[in-house]
Amino acid sequence: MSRQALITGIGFITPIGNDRDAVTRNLREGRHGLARVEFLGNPALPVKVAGTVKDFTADSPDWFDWRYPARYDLPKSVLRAFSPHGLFALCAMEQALADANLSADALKDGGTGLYCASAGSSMMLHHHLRGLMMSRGKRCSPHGVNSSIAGTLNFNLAAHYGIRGAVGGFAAACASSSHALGCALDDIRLGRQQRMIVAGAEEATAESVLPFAAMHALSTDSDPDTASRPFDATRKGFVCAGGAVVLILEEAEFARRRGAPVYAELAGWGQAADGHSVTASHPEGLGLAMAVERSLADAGVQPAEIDYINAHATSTVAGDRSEALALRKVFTDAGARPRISSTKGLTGHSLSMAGVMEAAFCGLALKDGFMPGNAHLQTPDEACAGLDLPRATLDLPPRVVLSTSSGFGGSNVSLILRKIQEARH
Amino acid sequence: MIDPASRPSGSTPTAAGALRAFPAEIQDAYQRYATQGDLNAADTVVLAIVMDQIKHPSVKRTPGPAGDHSSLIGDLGLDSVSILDAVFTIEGVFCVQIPDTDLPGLATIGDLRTYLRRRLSPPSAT
Repeated sequence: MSRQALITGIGFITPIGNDRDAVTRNLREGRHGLARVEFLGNPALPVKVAGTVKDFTADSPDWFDWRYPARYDLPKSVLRAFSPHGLFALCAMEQALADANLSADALKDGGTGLYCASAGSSMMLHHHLRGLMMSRGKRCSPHGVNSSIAGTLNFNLAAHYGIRGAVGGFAAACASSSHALGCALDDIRLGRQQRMIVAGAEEATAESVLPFAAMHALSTDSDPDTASRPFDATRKGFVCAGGAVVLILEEAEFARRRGAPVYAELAGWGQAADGHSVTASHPEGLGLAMAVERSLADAGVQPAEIDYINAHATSTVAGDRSEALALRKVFTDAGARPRISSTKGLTGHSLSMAGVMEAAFCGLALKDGFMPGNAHLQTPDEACAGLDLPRATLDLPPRVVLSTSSGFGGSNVSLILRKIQEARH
Repeated sequence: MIDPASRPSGSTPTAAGALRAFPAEIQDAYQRYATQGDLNAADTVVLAIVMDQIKHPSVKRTPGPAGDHSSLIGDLGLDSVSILDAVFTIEGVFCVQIPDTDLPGLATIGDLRTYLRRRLSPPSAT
């Protein structure tokens, strides 16, 4: 028999707050965390808005320049091998452990695993490679690789916390941390691990953000109040964001035995790819529709039982349209009309981190009884015909929710979360 | 005294930049070495750079203050990357390049200090 996996702790370092209460408040009130930025001191750059992390300064390759809230006591032996988004992840991890009433010692017995998602630190890689090139290959920091490449989160977090269960990283761009959650769920359901920690993190530095401008994927809107508007007919691209979210999953009986606080059940997942393009979604969202159908089957849920969908929709012209068509195929055609929103209107698009962050938002919605609205949506794209896209947050408690994420290469992941009856302490 | 022939090519961080994270007395020690050629002060900086790599005071550390006799691995609990990071920092601070082939001979703090003094001292006149 398949075991059940419960979400028992979450840590947030996000554009809309660095703790659970702030994030919940901003989701409910529709307050975005986007800000004007000037990359590389160049006012001529068309990208002028990003989803920024507040109360942290970490845009230098030198850890000694980083500033973070005093509540975090972080050893420099860890920081010296980290990148800025590793700093965010470390803080989110400390939050998640406290949220789950877990000591760090509880992670060391082999029953806990760790899956991480990030694209690595383009800034750190650039810094180290520049030193290497300028010395004609002679000189490079011994931390050049492990602080920079995709995998830096799992390398460093697993070592620091002494995690001896399943440890690995996911590199599927914007679907990465959703993949991590799905595979973590499977590890628990198959009895391989009692607890899985999933961390997603990214940096919104020039090196990470500006290459997306070269793809014409980013919004050039200079107004943070309107730049990210998923599903809107006038949308022109996404707004990059950074931060970290850590989510702790535990096998249900194990969690109950230790009296763990619970947000919700991670009830199922599905994935399917578009087989279409490196960068563009399938024009009719076929892969995403299949991923959603597979997740419904996995969770044993009918379309009509889904109360709320947290859509991937990033505010790109093609991507949002593909998703709207996919959701119409699965839900509208089946006579179902869940509420649908993309919270990227508030947060921007945090790339590898998006999946776990939005699953965490779903956990908050199930625990607190609300459904986030579509910030900045004025005129829905005609592709959204028939979809229920509330503008403001609804004070209605969902019971079953679905969260989608899509990434380069046409990866699509759908996660299903379900309310359970245990109250959170 | 810095051996110009040993200065590595390409861009290196300044000593001041490399020592920014260290206490004022270590930065002052570096200044005494740089302005007066005080090799005892250089010894102080070397010790500080190595000790900065210790991940946790309780890890594999032989009791008592560290000194020339302290082995990097056995007494101080450093791993290979920590040793390389200490060497990388020493190279940057003192503008020397330490070839990989010389590393096996640098097992203790005393070995590091002696090696660096030899590299920093000007060749004696014949």
